Amino acid sequence: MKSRGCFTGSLSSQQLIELDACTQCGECLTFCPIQDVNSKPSISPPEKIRVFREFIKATEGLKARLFGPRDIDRKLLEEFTKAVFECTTCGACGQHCTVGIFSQRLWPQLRKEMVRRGIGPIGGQAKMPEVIRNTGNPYNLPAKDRFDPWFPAAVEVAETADTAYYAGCTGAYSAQPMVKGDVLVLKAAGEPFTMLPPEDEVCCGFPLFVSGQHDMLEDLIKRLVEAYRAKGVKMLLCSCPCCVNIMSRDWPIFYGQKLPFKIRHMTQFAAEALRSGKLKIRRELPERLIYHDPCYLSRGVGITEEPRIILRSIPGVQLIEFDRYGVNSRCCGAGGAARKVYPENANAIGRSTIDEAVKKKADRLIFSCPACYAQVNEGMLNHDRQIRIADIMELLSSLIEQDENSAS
Amino acid sequence: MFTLGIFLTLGFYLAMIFFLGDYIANVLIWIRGKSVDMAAHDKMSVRAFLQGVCDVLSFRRLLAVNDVLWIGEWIFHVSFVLVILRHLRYFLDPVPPCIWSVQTPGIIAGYLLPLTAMYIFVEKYLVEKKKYVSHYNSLLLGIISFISVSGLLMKTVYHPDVVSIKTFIISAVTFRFAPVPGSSFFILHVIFVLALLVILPTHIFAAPLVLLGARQREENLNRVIHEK
Repeated sequence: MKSRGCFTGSLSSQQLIELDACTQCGECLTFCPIQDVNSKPSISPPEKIRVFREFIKATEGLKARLFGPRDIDRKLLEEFTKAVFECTTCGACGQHCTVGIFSQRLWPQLRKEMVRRGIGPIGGQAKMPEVIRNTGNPYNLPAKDRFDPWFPAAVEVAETADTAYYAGCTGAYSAQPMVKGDVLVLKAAGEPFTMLPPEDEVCCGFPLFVSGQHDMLEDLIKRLVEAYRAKGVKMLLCSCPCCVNIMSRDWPIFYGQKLPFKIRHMTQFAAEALRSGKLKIRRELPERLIYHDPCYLSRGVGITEEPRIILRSIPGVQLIEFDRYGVNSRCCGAGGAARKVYPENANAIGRSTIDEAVKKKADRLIFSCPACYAQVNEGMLNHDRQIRIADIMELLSSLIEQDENSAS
Repeated sequence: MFTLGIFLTLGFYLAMIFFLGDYIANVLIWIRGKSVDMAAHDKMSVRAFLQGVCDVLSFRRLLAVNDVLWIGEWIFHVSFVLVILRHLRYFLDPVPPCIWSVQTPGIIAGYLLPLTAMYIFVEKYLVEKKKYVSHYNSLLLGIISFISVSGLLMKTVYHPDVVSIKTFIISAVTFRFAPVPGSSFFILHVIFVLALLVILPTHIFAAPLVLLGARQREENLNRVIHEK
C-alpha cells in the first residue's frame, strides 16, 4: 500500500524550518535516553528528521512540484511511526542540539501527522481518546476513585477560591503520596483552595497531545478552563509537570485566548510559602538527597530552582546532583506516553537513574513528577540496586506536619 | 575548449536553477506551515537576537556539546566562507576593495580548509567513532575536500591561466560563452563545485534561523510560568 499527500499539515513554519536546519551531526545521540538502551539508528533523532524530510521532499519538494508527488511505501511510514512513538519526547536532543531544534515540541507534532494518516498511535495509546471520553482519565479508572483513596479528611476544599488545585490523573491514581502531600502543604500554608468535583476534573489533555491525538483536546480544555473560571479561580496549582506544561503552553492555544488564571507548579507555591514564612519546616532531615529534574518541568517550563530552594531549606539536608541536571537533565524513561508501549526501554532508562543515584551515595531520590515517581518505582522491581524515593511534596508535608506523617 | 566551455556554462546555469529552485521550494513549504506556533510564549527581543547572531557566528551550541569537534568545524566553516569571498574576484569586474582585502585571509583559509576537513573526518569517524553517520555529510565532506585540494594544487603547483579563468567565469555570469581554460584541474574543480551547488544542504539557510529562535526560547523559558 502506498501513501501520498502533504506531510506538513500538522507542523508550524518554525518546525518546518527546524526540519531543514538539522545538520545530521549526530551529537544529540549522546544525550538521547533511548539511544542509551536501544541503539537502532532508525530511532535516532537525526534519522527521524532525515526520513521525514524525505517524505516532504517526495510529496512537496522541487521534483514533486515539477513532475508530481512520489508514492511513499506504507512499510517505510510504519517504520518511521514506530521510531517516532518509541521516543520519550524528553527533549534532551533539542536541548543539546547544535542548532537548537525544539524537539520536545517537534516530536509530538510528527506523531500527530502519523495519527492523521491513520498509521499512529501505537498499541494501547490508540484507546486513550475513548477511555478519556468514558472515564475522564487515561487509566480507565472510575472518576469516583480519583480523590477518595488519598484525600486527607482534615483538609478542607472551598467551594470557590482564588487558588485551585488540579491533582491530575497520574498523581491521583498512581502517585498518591505526591497529591496527598500537595494538599497537606496547601493546608499547612493556610491557603484556601478549591477543586473541581472528581467527575469534572478530567484529563488535562497531555497524553492525547503527546501521542498526536488532538481531536478531543479543544473540548477537554475548554471544559476545564470554563469550570475553573466559573469558580473565580486566579491561580491554578498542579504538581504534575506534564499537566503544567500543556496548561501553560497549549491551553491558551486550544482555548483560543489567554487563560483567565495563572498556572503554577506546586514547587513554586511551596518555595514562595517557605520564603514568606507561611510554611515552616519543623524537623531536621540528616540525609543526602538527590533531585531528579522532570523533562517537562525543567526543559518544558523552566522550573529548576524552586525544588532546590525547598530541599535546601530543610535543615540537615545535603543536596547532591545528577551528572546531568536542571535543563540538561536525563529522562527517567516515563515520558512521551511510551512507557506502557515500550516498557523495556522505560525500565532500563529508569534503572540507570536509580544506578546513578545509588552510585552517588544518595540516601533518597526526590521527584516532582508523578510519572517519574511511578517509573523509577517500577524500575526498582527485580533490580539489584535499590534506593528510597519520595515526591518533593510528600517529603515537605512530612516535615511540616508533626502529627499526621513521618519522614521515613 | 570552447565546446567544453559551453557545457560547463550550461552546467553552471542548471546547477544554479536547481539550487535556487530547491531553495524556493523549501521556502514555499516553510510559508505553508501553520502560522500559530505551539511555543506560544516566544517573543524575540533585541538581546536574544544579538545573542543569537553570536551563536550563529561562534557555533556556541556545538562548543557546548563537543569542544574538540567545534574547533575543527568552526575553522572549517570560517575557511569555507573566506575561500568563497576570495573567489568573488573571479565573478566581479571591477573587484571591490572589500574582496581584495580578504585575499590573504582567503589564501590562508585555502590551506586550512582541507586540513580541517581531514580533522573533522578523523575526529568523527576514527576517534569518536560516531554512532550515527550521515552518508550525505560524508559525501559533502568528500566533495569539499576534493574542491579544496584541487584549488590548492592550482594555487601552488599547476598555476592555470588566471586571466582566462576570469574571462570564462565573467562570461558565464553575464550569459555569454567563452573557452574553458586548458587545465584539467580547473575543469574538475568546476565540475565538483557545480555538484556541490546542487547538493548544498538546506541547513545553511535554515540553521541560522533556528539558532535565533533557540536563543529567544532560552530567554523566554523563565517566563512560561514565572510571569508576574
